[in-house]
Amino acid sequence: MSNLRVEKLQAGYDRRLVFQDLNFAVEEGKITTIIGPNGCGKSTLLKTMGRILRQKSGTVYLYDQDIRQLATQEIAQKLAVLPQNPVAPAELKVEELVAYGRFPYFNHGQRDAAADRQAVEWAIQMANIMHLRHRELSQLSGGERQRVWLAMALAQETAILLLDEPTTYLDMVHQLEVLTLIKHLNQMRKTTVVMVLHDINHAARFSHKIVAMKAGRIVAAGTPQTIVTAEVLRTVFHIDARIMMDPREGVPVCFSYDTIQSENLAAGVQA
Amino acid sequence: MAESNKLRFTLSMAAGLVLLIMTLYLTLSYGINELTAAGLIQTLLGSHPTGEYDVLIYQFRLPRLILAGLIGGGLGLAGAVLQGISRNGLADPGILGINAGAGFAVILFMFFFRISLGGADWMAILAMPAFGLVGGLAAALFVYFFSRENGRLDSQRFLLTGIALGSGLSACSLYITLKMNPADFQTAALWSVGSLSYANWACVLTVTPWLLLLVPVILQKAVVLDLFQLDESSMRSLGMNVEREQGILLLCSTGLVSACVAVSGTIGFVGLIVPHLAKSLAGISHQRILPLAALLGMLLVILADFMAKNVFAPAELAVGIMVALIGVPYFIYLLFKSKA
Repeated sequence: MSNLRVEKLQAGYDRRLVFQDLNFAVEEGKITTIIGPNGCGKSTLLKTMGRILRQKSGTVYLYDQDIRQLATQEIAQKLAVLPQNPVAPAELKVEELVAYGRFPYFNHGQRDAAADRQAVEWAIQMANIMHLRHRELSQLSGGERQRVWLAMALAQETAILLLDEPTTYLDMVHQLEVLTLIKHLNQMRKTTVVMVLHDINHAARFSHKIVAMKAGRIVAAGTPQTIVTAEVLRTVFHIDARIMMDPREGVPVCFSYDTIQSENLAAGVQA
Repeated sequence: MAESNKLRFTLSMAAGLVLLIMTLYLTLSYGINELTAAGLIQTLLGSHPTGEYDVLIYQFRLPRLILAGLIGGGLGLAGAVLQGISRNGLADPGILGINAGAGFAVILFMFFFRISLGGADWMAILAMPAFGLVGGLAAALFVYFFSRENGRLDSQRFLLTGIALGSGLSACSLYITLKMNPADFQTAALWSVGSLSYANWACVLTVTPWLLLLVPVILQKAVVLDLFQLDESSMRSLGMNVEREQGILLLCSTGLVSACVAVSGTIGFVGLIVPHLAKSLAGISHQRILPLAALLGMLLVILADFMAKNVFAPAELAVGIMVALIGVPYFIYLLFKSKA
């Protein structure tokens, strides 16, 4: 089952095409992570699926409906996107930002105040930011801020969540917190999550499915066990990865790696 | 903290209203002919025994006062909207060339139809805002399309294009006023710096429909203006049709400014100073900024017009000059502050 899929998608910026003829279906109720080197088109794919970026051709289907046929406000009730570097006024209160997540339910200035309050309350608890609710954004650390933005997306109460590098700039603990939150959400609400991550071990541990992209094409897709392998990582990232199994989580872990070029160089020195 | 902003908003509104009422009283009673409080109230209620101030109040002071209030409110509100959608605190109808565009269109109208502002030709006076609107909109659209890049509004370029277009159009206006006959030139020159000395009921009637039409639309968009302070991706993710909302708000604010410019000439700086004051008093929520900006705008223009009328009495300054005298230092102060 898929509630979000793209067909023959072509997208890019100005005259530069990032990918073309891309087909991809997101599995409903699962966490999918897109990995790949910088500039491979993973963010572009995410943005196009979330109608942040307009495709040049092809179609994005949200519940089998062409996304361009739907009102953007209607889409926002089904799908939330957390961009890479969201910006908000520094004086804004945490609670106020989270409440912005209810904008999709505004109807010509009318709102269902009770439903709004409930959703905001739930999002704040879910993101574990109760203690921050009256603070200004400028007083938050990077990790706290990311959780607040996530809470805003949660307040949208969507079945689908698209996250563009949600752990970038966060320290180890905060990265884990954000990812655990996402996993929890997926388990509790069956939320479909698609995210872009750079950390392969996080991808392996927190996703049901990993999609590997390279130069605008999807080169491999499958369970962490089939994707986090020396062969796939060699094709996608040009690295020589050393993989072992984490017995506790039952997922593959890349514990170290070398670039293939430097290995050749080392071989040359030896010779 | 949100509570303290709310409190400050309520206090500011209350203080503003008290000041406004005091200014109203001052403006109506003070002048070359001074009225007592009793005389003023009696005249306003129509129960003055001799009725000697009826003409002074009803034909001169009252329409001028009301017009000053309407224009101040309109310009203040338009400034708040423009600063909101451009995410730039230096945006202002004057700086963005909207004033100059509307002004140019009105000057053209005056030139070709040879009407002086004091004229009682109602059709002409009612048609002037429409001309102003066309000019203002053309200028706004020009600036808007020249400052878009990759589908988003570049707020730096928004300002620079506006300043360039504004100076160009002012030069054109000046050229045309020089070709006018001396009587029209006098009117046009006074009008181009912004003046309320020709205020009459016809002017009030001219701006009122525009305000009644556009102000409710803008007030309803307070939440949209709040969201405009986020980045573009977040706005889209929240289901906002960014282009459409930007268009509607730009149209509304341009409409307000053009209607004001058509009757009072180009009063600058109101749309710049007032939203700043409102923001520093009431925080960043547009639900509070918008009404406060309207109130402060009224207060500023009424007060400036009062000073323009009375400081050098019996000679009169143009209200636009008075506002500029206050506005220029404030603008420079803001420039310095934004650099720091």
